[in-house]
Amino acid sequence: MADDAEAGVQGRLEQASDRELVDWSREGNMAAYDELIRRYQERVYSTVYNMTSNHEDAADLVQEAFVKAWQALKRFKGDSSFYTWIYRIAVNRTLNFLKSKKNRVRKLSLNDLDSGVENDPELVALISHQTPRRAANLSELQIKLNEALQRLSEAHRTVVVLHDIQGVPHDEIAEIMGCNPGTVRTRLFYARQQLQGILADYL
Amino acid sequence: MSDDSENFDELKRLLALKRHEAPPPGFFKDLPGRVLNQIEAEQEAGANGWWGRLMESFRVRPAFSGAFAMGLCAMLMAAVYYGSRPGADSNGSVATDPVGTGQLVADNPFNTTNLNQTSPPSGMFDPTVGSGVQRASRTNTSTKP
Repeated sequence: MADDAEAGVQGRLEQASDRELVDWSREGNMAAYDELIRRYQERVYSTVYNMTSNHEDAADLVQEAFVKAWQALKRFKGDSSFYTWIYRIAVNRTLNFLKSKKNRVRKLSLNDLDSGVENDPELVALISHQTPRRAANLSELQIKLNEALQRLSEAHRTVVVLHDIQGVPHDEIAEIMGCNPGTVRTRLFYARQQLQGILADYL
Repeated sequence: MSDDSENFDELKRLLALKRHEAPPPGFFKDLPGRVLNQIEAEQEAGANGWWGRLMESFRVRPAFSGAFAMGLCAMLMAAVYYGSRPGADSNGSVATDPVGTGQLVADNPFNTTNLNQTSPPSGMFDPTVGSGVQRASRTNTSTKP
């Protein structure tokens, strides 16, 4: 009986809109906030991880971002979506973190590649065109790609991560980063140009 | 300047590799619980005042507690070291004439006092000099026509 009631509440939370979940969370409903975290944790983590190339740093930063968002929920006016707002908090915290570590050598701590990587049509096309010079395995490619990303400035890296890896549109990136869409396009162009130069041996 | 004005197809294919980097299994299952625990811990710490917040910061950030303990140890060791130094006792360390006042006076070019004077100024030990009686009599004298 109690299990049925719990399942009913869980079902209601899963069907609720972000706006409703935000309103309930503001009233102190932790279950509603738990649902919001579950909805966005993967995307937020992925962004922060790709900006830092370090799983431990990303895990700490994402946790901090969700805690800060809870504390700031009363100030969330709802002008933008919760998703844009939490992205902005996470990206800003990550940029501050990276600035504070700028003069130190940061080690990569890369996640393993999932099992789907061998079947990704884009990657299959890339690997099938390999010449002997490009004969690198996927793990080596992964390291080179992450090293190349870390050589970009934080602003350029953020744009590439959000657009080319996460698939966030230009205008949303502009909202997240607090700049105009034209700046996003320019940064994206120069970041890709730089990456293409760094990774010339693998393209 | 459009982002599609140059051919970045190969680069985009390579970047697709990043989408396959996955965190350790169970990470996303545990993350919401960790966030909610930290929120509750911070709320409790906030309710317990500054002492509670300090204790909570030790729990949440072990590096902070380590640094705090090291600082405390360093202060204790410094106190023990300076306390046990020879000549650190209260009698021996008190200076009787630390700045050499005589020398300071001699170096001052505006000082017009006689440096060789050994006797006290005249009238210094005369109880009548500067007394109220004398001042009153002087006042009376000055008001006479």
